[in-house]
Amino acid sequence: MNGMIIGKYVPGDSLIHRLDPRTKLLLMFIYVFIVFLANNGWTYGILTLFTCLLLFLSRIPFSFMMRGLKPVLWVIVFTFFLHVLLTKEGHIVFQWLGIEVYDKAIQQGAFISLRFLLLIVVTTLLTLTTTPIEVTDGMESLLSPLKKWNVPVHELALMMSISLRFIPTLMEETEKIMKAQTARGVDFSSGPLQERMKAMTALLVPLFISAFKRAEELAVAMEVRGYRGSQNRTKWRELTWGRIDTAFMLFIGLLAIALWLLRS
Amino acid sequence: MEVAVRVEDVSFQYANEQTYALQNISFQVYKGEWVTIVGHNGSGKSTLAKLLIGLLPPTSGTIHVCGIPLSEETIWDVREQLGIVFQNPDNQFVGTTVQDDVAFGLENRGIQKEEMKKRINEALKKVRMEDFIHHEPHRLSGGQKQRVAIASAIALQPNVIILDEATSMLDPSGKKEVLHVMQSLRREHDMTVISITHDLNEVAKADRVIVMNKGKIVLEGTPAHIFSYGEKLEEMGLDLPFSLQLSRRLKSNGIPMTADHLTMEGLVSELWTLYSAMSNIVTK
Repeated sequence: MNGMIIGKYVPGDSLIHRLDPRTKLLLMFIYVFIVFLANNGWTYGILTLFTCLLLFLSRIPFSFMMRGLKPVLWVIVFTFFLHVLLTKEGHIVFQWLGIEVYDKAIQQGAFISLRFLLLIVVTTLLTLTTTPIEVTDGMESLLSPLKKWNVPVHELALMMSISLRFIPTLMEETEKIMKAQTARGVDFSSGPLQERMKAMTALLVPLFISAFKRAEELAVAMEVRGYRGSQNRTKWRELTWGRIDTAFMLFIGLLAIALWLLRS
Repeated sequence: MEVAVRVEDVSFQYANEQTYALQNISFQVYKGEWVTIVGHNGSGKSTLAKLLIGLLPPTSGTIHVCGIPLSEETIWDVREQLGIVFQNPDNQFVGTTVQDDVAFGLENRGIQKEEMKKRINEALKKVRMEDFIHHEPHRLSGGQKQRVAIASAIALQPNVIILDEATSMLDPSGKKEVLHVMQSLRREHDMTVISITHDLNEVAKADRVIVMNKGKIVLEGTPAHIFSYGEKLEEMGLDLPFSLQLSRRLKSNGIPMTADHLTMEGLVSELWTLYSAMSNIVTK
């Protein structure tokens, strides 16, 4: 998993970094839908151009992005070949060992894997340029209309931000428990799968017990600091919607219209 | 003197347990005073802490905090008077960064952004953590996290600060850091502090000490008064500070020590002047 960059934040001060997290979330959400509008060379071309523009504006090095995409590359290649082998439309380009490859199949395979690639690039871009806490704040703000239907939006967002805060703590703890159990003779890294699964209980049970204990203590600490739910609460982190955010939203709107008009 | 916390005849019994965890506890903490409650495991001091912050209701007796009687209706008013620092540095860090953590309590009180900013900066400056404002908790040491916890508490401007074993999970330098910050806070801002601990080393700097054992208050007085009961404290499972132990042993071996030293500084200054003092005696 070392090569994975999805979910990692790269600090920076680019235009994309400075966008309101709501803009970025909406942008990604709309993008995921309009990607499916594309069905010919023109539309895919525009989409690719748009994605490259975002990548350029984010100042994330292209090579860094590519390195991060390596783990998913084989899925993309696999998708391509699946389409090439299974689609039977258009005319045959070549035949080999009884396998017939059609020209439409190659085209469709290329489009589908490109679509896949674009989706991954854009979603990765979101997490690379937005801190998890910003994503949480953005989600809370975007989902706040749901409060009318008694959806506990604030509580969910708080849960998410606390989970994010505790990831490194629990990782550290996992490591500590693993070392402690290894010292007591538990073998986590070799032996048959069944044995290794059994060894995991020696890790998971103490980890869960301590996580529950942490949760309880944290709840007390929150309560004595006056936490009583979302009522009458102010917010330290305020989101500010700027002109640039409106511009980006208009831009993606235009893109959607262009794709709609150009699709065949 | 104005009373900050008044505990009157409080007893507490956990459900399904025969014995009382606390028996007829009464004491007062005055404004601006530093009171240390010390006791071994099972002495009832942690139960007392839970009672003070309203996590458990006393079986009998009453608790007043800044004149407000503690009850189910007043629990949030009472908590507004208190700032609490708990034992585990990690399990009381709510925010994703230092500033978010200090902001958490302020957000709960509905304080406006401008005021929040001012208070966060002030509080972090008081605990000397202002350079770490954007740091995530996993990049801080235990002592630093506890200092942030103190900042989070004082940002809410409480009348009384309770340290509930706040230094017991820290290394010696972390302990020193936290106690140092608390002492300077108290000197400069005249705060009332109730420190709950099992470590007699922390007792020396208190104004008054309450020693608990088996759910009862057994001793009460100044640190010097408490330490004069040396053996009795050891019988209760408390370890006397090293400086005190050493000065007593030296005395019993015939070295003319003038006092039982509660602090390292006192001991050291007597020891390094001891030789000249003794040679004076010899030449006479």
